[in-house]
Amino acid sequence: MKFKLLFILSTIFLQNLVLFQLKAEVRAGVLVHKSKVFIEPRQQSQMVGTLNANEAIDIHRRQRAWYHVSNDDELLGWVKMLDVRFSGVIKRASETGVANLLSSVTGGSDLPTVSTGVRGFDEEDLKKAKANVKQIELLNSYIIKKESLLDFIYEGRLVVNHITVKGNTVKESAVLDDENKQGVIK
Amino acid sequence: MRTVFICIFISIIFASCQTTGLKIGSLDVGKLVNQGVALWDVNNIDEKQEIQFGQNMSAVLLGTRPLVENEKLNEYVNKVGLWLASNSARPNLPWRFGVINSSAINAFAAPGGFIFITSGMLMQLVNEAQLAGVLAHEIIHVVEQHHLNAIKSGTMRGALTQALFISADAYQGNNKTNKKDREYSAWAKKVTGMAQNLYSKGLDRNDEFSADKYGIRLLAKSGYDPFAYLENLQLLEAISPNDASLALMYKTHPTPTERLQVLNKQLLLLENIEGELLESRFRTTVLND
Repeated sequence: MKFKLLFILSTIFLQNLVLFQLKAEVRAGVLVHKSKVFIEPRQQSQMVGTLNANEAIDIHRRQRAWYHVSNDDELLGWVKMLDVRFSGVIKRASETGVANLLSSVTGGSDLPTVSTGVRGFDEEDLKKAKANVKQIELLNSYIIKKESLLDFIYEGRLVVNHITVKGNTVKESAVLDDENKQGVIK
Repeated sequence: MRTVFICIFISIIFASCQTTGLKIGSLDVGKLVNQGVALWDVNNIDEKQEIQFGQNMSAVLLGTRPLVENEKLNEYVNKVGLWLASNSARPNLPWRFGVINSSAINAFAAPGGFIFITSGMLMQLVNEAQLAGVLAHEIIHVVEQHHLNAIKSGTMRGALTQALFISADAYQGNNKTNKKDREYSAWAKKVTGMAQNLYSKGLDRNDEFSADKYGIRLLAKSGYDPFAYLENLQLLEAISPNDASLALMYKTHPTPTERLQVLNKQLLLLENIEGELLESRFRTTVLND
């Protein structure tokens, strides 16, 4: 009995957690044109309905080139990602983090969030610009050692896929030596 | 007697260049001779000159807005960029990546391996794959030498001078201080003029589409989720084209909607690729989460 209660409570908790996460990541969008909605993120999957052009949708998540979406009629399924256009930009809570990062750099007086504005970079700014050779020295100070880069690649579990990029017939990454190539070439 | 005749003939040619504005091809030789400018053979730029040219252009970009002076952030962007570049056709260039402190949403490349992303662009992104997508697009511009092609074929060809391909120090030589200052000004004027031209006019539209086409492949080749590239463009598409932060990008690039339409053709090649998004380490490093 005790085990059963614990199981039910855990299930409710997990369901709420998933719903909360779905809610947190939801993005508003519209359909670019009339689109088929599938039960799974693939063309061969069963169709669950259609959505009309300009119909408002909630976008819950993405898997490869598919978005998991729903509408007000509770139609839920997968549509091709390029059939969708975002309706607006999400104001991320973590923007504050970026602002803090930038203000820690410049001292915070004249400063910068997206809304209050680090200054822009337009044609007029370019016209007034003067070459700043000292900034190149600063740029050069951020050089990465190969060992550090290798750690970064492994930590991210980044693997090389055999895809031809124009002008590049080399299939392996130039940064990985023979020993390191083991296990990272797919 | 013959030598004297040749000398007189050459003098007359140069004099007439200066006074009549004689042109050879698209080059206004008369004007350049007047200015005492050394002409540059655009078809003969080697890698060393390409890198110096890119460094000079970068000095102007960073003169417009400086780098965000945050070591952790810049090193992170360098790691992502270097990994992508190592999978490109030109892995051995001295690649440099930096974050420019600007609210504008944009990214820039300069010949020889210099790549910049604005902090405004970084703030629109949510994961490392999206950052890699922005950098991959710029890396292709460098690999394909799109900027050099632009100056070879366009109206900028006439503005090519030796100053663009050497450093300020080399241009100044070992002259005395006063002359050095004057020569620095001359160098800076030429370099700045070219950078303004290059980055306010932008590249050929086909070069932008090409950077998208091969950028998304480079992203996939490097183990990232290639569809994050499309998500980037959808994010940009959602921002009003009248938003000031996008002004320069809209002036120099096709619209995100056009770019997405062209990229649609690439999806068949990539549809089964599963790559990494790496949201967590992006958030930790960039967004201080």
